[in-house]
Amino acid sequence: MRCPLQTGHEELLLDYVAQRRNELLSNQLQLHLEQCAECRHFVEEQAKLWTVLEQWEPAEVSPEFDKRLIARIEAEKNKTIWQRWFEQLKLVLVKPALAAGVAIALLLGVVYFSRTPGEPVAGRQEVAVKNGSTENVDVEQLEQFLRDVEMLKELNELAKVEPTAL
Amino acid sequence: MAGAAAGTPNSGVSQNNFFFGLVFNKSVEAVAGLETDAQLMLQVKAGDDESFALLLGKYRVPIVHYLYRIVHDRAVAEELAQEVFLRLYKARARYRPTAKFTTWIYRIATNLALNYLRDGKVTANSESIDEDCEGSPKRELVDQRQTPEEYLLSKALQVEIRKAIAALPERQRLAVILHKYQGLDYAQIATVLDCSESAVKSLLFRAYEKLRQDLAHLVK
Repeated sequence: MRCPLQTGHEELLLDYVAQRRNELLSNQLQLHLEQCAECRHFVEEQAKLWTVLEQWEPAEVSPEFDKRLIARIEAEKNKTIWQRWFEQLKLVLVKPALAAGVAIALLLGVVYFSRTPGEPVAGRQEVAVKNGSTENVDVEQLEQFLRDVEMLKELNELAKVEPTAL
Repeated sequence: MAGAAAGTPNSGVSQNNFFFGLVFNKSVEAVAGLETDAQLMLQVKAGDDESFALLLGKYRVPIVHYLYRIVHDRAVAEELAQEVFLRLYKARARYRPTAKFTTWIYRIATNLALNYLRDGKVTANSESIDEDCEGSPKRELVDQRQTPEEYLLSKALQVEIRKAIAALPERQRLAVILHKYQGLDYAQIATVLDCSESAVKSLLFRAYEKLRQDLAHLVK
C-alpha cells in the first residue's frame, strides 16, 4: 500500500482512527503502519485527540421539547392561507423593500439638500401679504384666482345693468 | 406528547392532537430500520403525521446536540432545532428525495445556526472559561466515584475542548463537528457545506492538525 501521508490521502488515516473503513482496507493500513513510522505517529496522535474530543458532552434535550414543537406545528396549521402567504411575502420582499426604501430616502434627501438656500421651488414665488410677511404661493393658481375674480366682477356688472337678463 | 422517549405509553390523550396516539403505537426501533428516512418523509408528504413523529424521534437528539455544539447554548439550540423540524413539516408538500434526508436536515440546521451566529446575538467564542455556558447541562455527580476535583477537572477539560473547536475557522469547525460528533461521511459533509469532497478532506486535515496542537497539553 502506498503511504497515505505521501500521496495526500490522509483521510485514510483519519478514517482508520475513527474506525470508519472496511475491514480489508483497515488490514492493509495496519500492515502499512507496521512499516511507516510517520503514519504510525500520525495515527497515534490522532487517536489521542479523538479520545480527548469525545469528552465534550452535549447538553441533554429538555423533556418539553416535543410538547413545544407540537404547539408550534398546531399554531402553524391554524394559520389562515392569508397569514401564510403574507409570511412568505415578507421573506421574499422585506430585504429588497428595505433597500429600495433606503435608496428612495437617500435620493429625496439629495434632491432636497441640493437646492441652494432661499431658492424658490419651481412654480412658486414669494408674495408679500398684507401683514408684511411673505408667503410662498403657486403662481399659476394665483393667476387663475385673479381671472376668476375678474370674471365674477364682470358678471356682477352685467347683473347691475340688466337685472332681468339673469 | 407525554414524554420524549420513544415507546413511552401514551394514554388518555386528546384525539384531536395529531401527534397523540401516534408514534408510540409503533416503536421507533421496529419501524425506522425498515423504512428509509426519504420514504418516511414521502409518507409525511402524503399526510402521514406518524412518519413525521418517527423522523422527529430519530433526529431530535442529534440535531439538538449538533446545534448545541455550534451555538453553545442549550435553549438556543433547542429553539433552532424546533425551527428545523417546523421547516421540515412546512416544506413537506414540496419534498422531493433528490438528496439524502440526513444531509437535507443538517443543511437546514447549519444554515439556521450560522444565521443566528451572524446576527450577533451570540458568538461561538464569547464564553468565559470561568462561567458556565448558558443552558449548559447542570452536571451532577451522577457517578458517585467522581470526586469534586475530578468533576472540576472534567468541566475544565470540556471548556478547553469547546474553546479549541470554537477557535477554528467556521468551515473547519463545522466539518469537525459533522465528522467527529455527528458521524457524517465526506460526501454528506460536502453536501451540507456545499463544497467538494476533496475540500472537506482538506478542511478536516487542517482542523485536526490545529486541534492536535491546541489540545496537546490535554493529550496524554
